[in-house]
Amino acid sequence: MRKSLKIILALVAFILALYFSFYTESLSERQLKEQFKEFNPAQVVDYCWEHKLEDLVRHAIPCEEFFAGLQGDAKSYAERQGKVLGIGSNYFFVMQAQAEISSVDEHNLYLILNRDVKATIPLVNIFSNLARDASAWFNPDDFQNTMDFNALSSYLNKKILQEVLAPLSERFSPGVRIEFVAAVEVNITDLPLKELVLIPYKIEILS
Amino acid sequence: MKNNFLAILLAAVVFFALCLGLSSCRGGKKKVKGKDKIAVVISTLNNPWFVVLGETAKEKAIELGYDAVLFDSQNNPSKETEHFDNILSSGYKAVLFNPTDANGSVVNVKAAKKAGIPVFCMDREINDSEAAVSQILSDNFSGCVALGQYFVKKFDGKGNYVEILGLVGDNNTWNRSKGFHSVVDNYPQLVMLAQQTADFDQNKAMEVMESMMQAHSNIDAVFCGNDAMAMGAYQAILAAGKAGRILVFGFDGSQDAVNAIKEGKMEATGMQFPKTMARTAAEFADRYLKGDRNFQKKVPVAVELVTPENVHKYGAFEKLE
Repeated sequence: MRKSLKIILALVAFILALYFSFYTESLSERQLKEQFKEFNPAQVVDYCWEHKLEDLVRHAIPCEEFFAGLQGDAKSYAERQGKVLGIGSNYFFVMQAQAEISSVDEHNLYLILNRDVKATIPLVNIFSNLARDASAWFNPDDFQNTMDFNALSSYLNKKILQEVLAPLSERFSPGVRIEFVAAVEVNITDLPLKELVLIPYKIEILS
Repeated sequence: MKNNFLAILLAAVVFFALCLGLSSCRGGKKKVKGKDKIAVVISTLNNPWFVVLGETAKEKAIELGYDAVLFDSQNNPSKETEHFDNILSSGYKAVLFNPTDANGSVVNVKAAKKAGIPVFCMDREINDSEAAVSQILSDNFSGCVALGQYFVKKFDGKGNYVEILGLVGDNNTWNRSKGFHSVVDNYPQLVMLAQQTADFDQNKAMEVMESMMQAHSNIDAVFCGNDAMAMGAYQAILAAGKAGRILVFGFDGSQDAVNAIKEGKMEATGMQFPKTMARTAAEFADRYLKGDRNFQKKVPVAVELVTPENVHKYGAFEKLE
């Protein structure tokens, strides 16, 4: 009996030692980490755009649900559905909607969402970290310093201008209906919403 | 023989029991263990922003049950190292740290880590993502993107400006400048006439602004990397009789800046929340000392743009309820 107990204990110890000697991670996560080793913002962003955009678009929040959620207990809704980077009142969402273009100028196109919320999509310059932070593709912990982390935004913003907006820019005109999936930022202490800036990950012309 | 031995043993047991009982009864009180100590190391206490950061961190640490001591590095990396040498040999359990230099301060944090003392950086980061347990930082880049957009709108994309930078060894200086330029550089009719550092210091900024105005008579605006320098720049502008003609933009959200915006002396600032950063750092240290090891390495804290349109919502370094 004693001998068999010793054998069982030894076996358990061996299995535990084996378990803690290895760890598993998905191939895609490993490949993503490899991209970060020698920092090249273009490579990192391009990889995520190619492998994660479809999933981001698929999980976008429908417009009606987004506005309804913010009209109720906005903080709880934002904590459930939005993303926040660190500490603050600004939450990021990825929203899907259809809307008619109300006007266009050389810098922006303008829409009305949810009856009375004015939305702007920039056509020439995209600033801020909105697209980066709403995507949740990047964790600041993975970067040596915040300057590297911010470099991702510069590249991602350029990519959106060149690949999402530029090909369609000549077709944007008042009355045209579009469908889009876009990054949105909401400060939950500044509600109700009156204006939004949308940074699109995807746009289609419907009519 | 056996009886003698038992008697001696019994006497010894009674003696030790009496000793224990007497020591616990002395003065009617139990001996109380001293509080753990936390060090709060601040880059400089010569700037009100950092005074708020340091004092808040200290107060929060005391509130959480620790003794807390404030150390002033006087913007001097050598002084900072002396403080760390002291901290490492004096039984401190944690450090709430505002570095003097993103690269130079790494060695101090690593030394503390090696000694088993966790370090939590506040406001300024170090260029090492593993040395500190956590770094609680303002999102300076986003804050200055918003400031840059407001700047462009204010001038309708045309004008001449100068920039006064902070300490060149501080990543915050470059995050702010890059955030600002990421917007403004897209407008070729917004021309930067000069760019110079004043080390985040009000008096130095006044001198820098004076010399910039002597070199360039057509300045429309000045963007300063912090509010102390913005105040210094404003003093120079006022003395030159150009108040209202050269618009002033800063960053921090100090009481002076908030008042200056209300009075029309400044155009905008980026409000940081040093109290939030300081309290978070102290809370993290408390959690760590109680056994928690699950911390984000970088915790950005949002910055909010303060302009004449919304200044009524803000006090010094905070949003009013």
